[in-house]
Formats: sequence, structure tokens, C-alpha cells
Amino acid sequence: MKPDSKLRRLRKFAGGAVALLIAAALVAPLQVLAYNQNRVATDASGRPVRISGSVVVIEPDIELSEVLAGGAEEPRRQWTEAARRLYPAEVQRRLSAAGIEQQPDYDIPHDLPADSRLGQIIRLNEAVSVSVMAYTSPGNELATKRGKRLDWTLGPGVDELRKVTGADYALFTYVRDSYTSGGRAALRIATLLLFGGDIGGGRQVGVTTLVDLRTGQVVWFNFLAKQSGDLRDAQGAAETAQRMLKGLPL
Amino acid sequence: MMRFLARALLLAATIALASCASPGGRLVSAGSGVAVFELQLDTSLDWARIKRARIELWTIDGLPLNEFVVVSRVRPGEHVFLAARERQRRPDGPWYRQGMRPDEIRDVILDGLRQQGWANVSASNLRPARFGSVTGLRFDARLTHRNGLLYQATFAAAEHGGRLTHFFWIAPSEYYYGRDIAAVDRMLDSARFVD
Amino acid sequence: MNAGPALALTLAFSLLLSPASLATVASSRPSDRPVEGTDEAELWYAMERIERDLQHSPLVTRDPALNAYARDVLCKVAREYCGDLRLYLVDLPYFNASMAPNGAMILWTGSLLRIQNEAQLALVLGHEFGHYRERHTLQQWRKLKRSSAFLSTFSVFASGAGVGVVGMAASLAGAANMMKFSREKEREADKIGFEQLQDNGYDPNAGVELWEGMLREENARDYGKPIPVFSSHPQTRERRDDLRVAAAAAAKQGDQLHLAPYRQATRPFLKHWLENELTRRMFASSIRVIGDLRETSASEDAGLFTFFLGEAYRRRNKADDRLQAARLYAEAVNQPGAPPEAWREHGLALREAGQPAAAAALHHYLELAPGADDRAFIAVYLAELEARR
Repeated sequence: MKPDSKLRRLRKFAGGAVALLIAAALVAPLQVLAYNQNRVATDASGRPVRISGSVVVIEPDIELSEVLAGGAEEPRRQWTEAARRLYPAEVQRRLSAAGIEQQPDYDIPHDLPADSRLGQIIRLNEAVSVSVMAYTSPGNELATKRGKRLDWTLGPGVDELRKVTGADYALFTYVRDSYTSGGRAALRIATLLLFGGDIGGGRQVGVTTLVDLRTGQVVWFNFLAKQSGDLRDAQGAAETAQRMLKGLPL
Repeated sequence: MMRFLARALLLAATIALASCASPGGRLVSAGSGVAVFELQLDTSLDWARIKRARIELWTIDGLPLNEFVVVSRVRPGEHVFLAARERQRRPDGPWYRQGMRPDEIRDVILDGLRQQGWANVSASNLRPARFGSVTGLRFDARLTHRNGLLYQATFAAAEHGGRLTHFFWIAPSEYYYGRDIAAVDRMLDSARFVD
Repeated sequence: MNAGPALALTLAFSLLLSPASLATVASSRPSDRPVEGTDEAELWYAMERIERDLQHSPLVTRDPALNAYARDVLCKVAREYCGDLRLYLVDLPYFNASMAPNGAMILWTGSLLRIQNEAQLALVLGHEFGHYRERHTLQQWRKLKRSSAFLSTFSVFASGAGVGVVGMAASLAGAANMMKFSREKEREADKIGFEQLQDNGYDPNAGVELWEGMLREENARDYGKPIPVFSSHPQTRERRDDLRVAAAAAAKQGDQLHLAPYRQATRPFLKHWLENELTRRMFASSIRVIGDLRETSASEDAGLFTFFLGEAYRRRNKADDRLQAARLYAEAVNQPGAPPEAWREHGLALREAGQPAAAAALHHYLELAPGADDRAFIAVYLAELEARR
């Protein structure tokens, strides 16, 4: 265990009682999580769930940045806008190829009030995704969920999303990635994680969840933190989509 | 999202690297007389419990979704979440003092949460409570995470032996708070000091 | 996103000054938008992301009347640029105002508490507008070229992102270094702010009083490292002096304070802002700030400020603070504008002093606030007091 001064700084910046938990300093933390974490929920009889119904792709939360000479990052509008078009297009292609019925992509309205039920459901999905991510890598499983494959829900509020999209499932995606002018930058995640900032350092981080809008159940989840396709072009988007959707219970 | 994300990766990584207990916590099965520092309580729910020197964190679905915190024996002049000590050159902070009024205890706990970044923290239903032979207080609160997710919480606190012991539970208003509040209320009400 | 130690790390990088950044930047014109593909466009984009977060932030005060009033004042100083600007009132108890290069202006409610009239508000908004019109932030950004640290810093100013109220003070100090415009640019913005005051007929001496209040607040804190209160502008004394000189030399002396409209717009929020002020737990500063406000308050608000001054003393609880608080509560309950809580504290102070009038005061509190959250505890105290008799 590393000394307490780091603990104090972590408490200050990580926020929440979560911060109180943090006892160790970070040593290449993403090594722990550096493989696909893909999980499928089980149904009442213990069998892995399969998609049966239509899927809506929720507007992906993607941000692409450039890593500058000094190491700082700047978000790049064109790259981000391209990725936000290319990635869902690629997802749609894959879903269609698998014969999955789709509803029109859902863009979260800019003026959606945060405290509306739909606004809360979208934010709850973030909290759920983060919980799944923290507690599904081997050795990290929650004591209350050992032996269960994927046991999370957003609750009945998902009905709001079902109403506006007409879909049976919603696919949420979050991606952060950054690029140097000459290729990927070296991993600097320890620094950024320590201060609660955005994940960067030239390493792609992606989180995706599939939520059953009839029950609120998270039926599939994937997290990846490794090199994959360059989201700035169509081919890269295709590779990334392939990786992100690997294991989707089609 | 990414603020949540960063926190969770941090949490996951450090849980994984922390020695001692399993990072996903130890199971507390529903039962009576569960010992937590100087307290005992009864629970009808199972929890994953993470123990530290004077703080325990319990959760069912993960800390962003339900978080039960027990802070044991805060000393006078100490930060309400044990994060620091009051110093002459650092008098600004949520330090516990002996003989605080119930509403002052409530405010020092809530100011501690405000310090951590919770927004729009508002309290309600401040009331006396007994924890075994020790009198203390209970209160409820609403609070908003920086990213806009609304949470609700319920708190308990008592001074005993010149120290403050307090424990609380926070969960998102959407679904999670309502699902467990009845059981959590009973759990907090059941708490008693055992010396 | 956080300032503080993150800045310490990023400041380790060397500064790159490209030839482009040394070229002068022309003032903007109304409705100007940056050219696609330029660094200015990328900065706008980055700011747009922050502004989107801000729009949904739980910290933004959305009250229509208050926003309409503040916007009115902004338009008086910004005139034809008014349509380019959006003003966000962020509910944090520090004096702070910032200007994003894409037209988003941020004013923390701690500022609205300390500002006493419309002339002072116009000065502050006019100053920020000056930074916008002269594209100072763009120049700063080019000079630094450290945008993620820069953006983190801006997030701190926008919504206090990443830190809670008490931790904010330290972060503001760190962020101040990042956001520090050159003295030259600050003077330029001050000059523009002053021009707007003059053009609108405001009394420029009101501004001098504002800076003097800020100075007193900065000096009230005699421990720890100094925290520049108006965080990106550490030279408060200089600014006050410059403004005093400019005011004296002004050809046309305006005299408008528009005290009444300012008070009318802000009165509904005073109690909330004062409660927030106390959550900072910086009681020495709060005693100074609230004390000053009490001196100049409207008579109908006297009881409110007297009560909260008492609260600041009671919570600090050093030496004879409790006695001082008791005196203030006794005064407050006889003044207009005292909130119901004044009766509670007055009653509790009397109770501590063993005075029989305590019960009547506590009863009065419960009459004034039947839905009082601490009713259960007050009832216990009353029962004890009644039993003693």
C-alpha cells in the first residue's frame, strides 16, 4: 500500500464516499481491466438471455481528442462528429446483418431537462454502467452477486425510453479516444485517473450496455480498454464496432 | 458520464490492488446482531461489505447505486469523514466538535458531503432517535450528483464516549432508493451501541 | 475535471510560443463566428461541450425573473453584442465571474450576494464582456496551448466542476494561475467595464466600494495561503485604486445605482445565498462579508442579515462567539425581515442562559414555521423547559 498523502488527494478529487475506500495508489490500473469484459445476463431458468425484439441505438457519447506535443489533449470537432456518424452506422450494419429489427436511432434532445424521468434514466444508466464495470472483472465481483452472470437493472423507469423510441432494447455507448499526429500516444492513464479527469493518453476506452426496455434489466455489457480501430474513418469505426459488439447475444 | 467512469475505474483498480479483503467485499447475509465497530444492527438484506480502520462501506449493487457508510468514533477536531484534522492554519472544514446540537451534527455531515461535490443538498425530518441506550438523531436528505442524477439519503448519528458515530445510506431516487428504503430504515432503527 | 494538482503536473510541460500566437488579435464584431478549421474554432467547440454540461448542471440557478434581470443588465453593457452572449448563474458561494470565448458568461451567486446594486453588477458583467470583445481568452489559450488543463480550469470556473464547496477555495487559487490574464488585459477589461458604466450613467464609485469589500474579505482570512477572492484577478487593491482614479477623472459623472431594481431581483434569494455562504465553513470571512452587508442593507432586510451574522458567530464558536451570537439574535427578532429561525436561535440562546423567556421564543418559532424540520427536537426542549417550571 502506498502512503496516505495520495489517499488524501484521491479523496479530494474522486468525490463521494467512494473516495474513502481508496487505499492504494495506482499502478498501471488498466492492466487489470485490459481485456474485453463482456457479460450476458441469464433469464429465470439460468440460460443466457438472447435478444428478441427491436433495438434502438442511443446517440453514442463519443469524444475524440488530439494529444499535443506536451501531452495535453484537445477535443477535435471534426473527428468527434465523424465518429458519431460512423460508429452508429456501423452498429446498424452489424445488427441488420444479424437480422435484428431496429428502431430509428435516438438522439438525446439538447433541451431534455436533467430532472425529467427520461433525463434521470439516462443518467442512471451511467451509474449502472460504471457499477457493472467496477465489479465484473474477475476477482472484483460483488459479494452479493457472486455466481450471477449479470444482475443489474435500471428499474421500470425505462418505460419512458420505450415510449419515445418504440424499441424493446436500447444500446448505450460511451467512447473516449485520443490520437497523436503520428499515431497513438503512450498510456498515461494513471495520472488522469488520479485526478478524476477524462480518460485519455491515446488509449481507447469504450463502455456499452444493452438494456431491456420492458423490464429495465441490463442484458448485456461490454467494456474495452485497448487498441482498436481508428474511429475517425469508416474502417476504423467498423473495427471498433466489431470489438464493442463482440458477444452481443444475437 | 466520464466523471462517473473515471471514478469507477479508479475504484475498480484500487479495489483490485488493495490487499486484505476481497475487492468485491465480504458477504453480510441478512440476519440480526451484525457487529460493525461499536454498533450492532439487524438487516433483512444481504450486503457486500468493505472494511477499513474506522469506516465501513456496504453496497448491494455497487457504490453509485447504493452506498451504506458507517463512520466510527470521529474525534473532536477531526473531519466528519476522517479525512483530516482541524489545524490552526486550517480552521475551515467540517470538523466534529463535542456537544454539538442535533442540527449542528446534521449540518457538519451534510457539509462534508457538499465538500465532496454533492449539489443541492437539502435535509428534512430531523428527529430524535435511540440506538440502544444512547440517544442520537436521524434525518433524511435529497442531494444531486454533479452529473445530475438525483439521490436520496437517510442518516443516523449519536455522540457516545466523547466521539461521534454516524451512518447513512444513499441511493438514486430513480428506482434504487424506493426499492430498499423500508428495509434500510428498519436497519438504521435497529442499530444499538454495544460496549 | 479538476484543477489543483492536475495543474501542477501539466505545468511541468514547456511553453511553446508559436509565431502565430504572437500576432495581435483583432477585436471581435457582433455575431462574429470563428472560421472553420482554425484554432479559435476548436476552442469554441471545446467551450461548447462545457457549456452543454453547464446547461444541464444541477448548480445552475434557472429562476426566470432573476435571469431576466441579470440578462437585462448584461445587455445594457454589451449592447449590440448582447445576442452573442448567454449568462449562467451558478449557485456557488464565492465571488466569481468568468467569460468563455464562445459567448458563455458565468456568474456565481456568491457574487450576487456581495454585489449591492446594479452599478456594481454592471461593472462586473462589463469587465467580463470586455474579455469577450477583445478575444482575450483566445489569446491566452494560444499562449498556453495547454487546453486540457485550460479547459479543466474553465470547468472549475464554470461550475466548480470536480470540487465541492470547501475544497473549491484551494482549487480556485490553483486555477487562478492558469486563468491569469496579463495585467495589461485585465486593465483593458476594466477599462471597458468602466466605459460601459459611464455610457449607462452608473455611478463609478459604486465599483470602488465593491473592490473595497473584496479587499476586506480577503484580509479577514488570516490563516493559510491567501485565496484571491475574485480568483483570476489577484490585484484587488490595484483595481480599486485604478477605478478610483478613473472615477475622479471622468468627464461625465453618472450617479445611478439602481438600488431598488437590484434589491427587488435578488431579495427572494438572499436567505438561500446566506445559507450557502455558511456551508463554506469559512466563518471568519463570512463574519466580514455578512457584517458588511448588514451595514448597507435595506431596512426591510435588517433582521435577515443580523440573524445570519449571528449564525456565522455561533458556528465558528471561538472565544465569546456564542455570546456575540446571542446578542445578535436578540437584536434580529426585533428587526424587520428576521426569518423564523431567528426566533429559534434566540430561544435556544435564552435557554442556554437559563432565561425563562426561552419557551415563549421557541413557541413563537413553531408558530411562524409550523412545518419546521426540527420540530421534534424543539418539542423536546419545550417539554424540558415546561417541566422545570
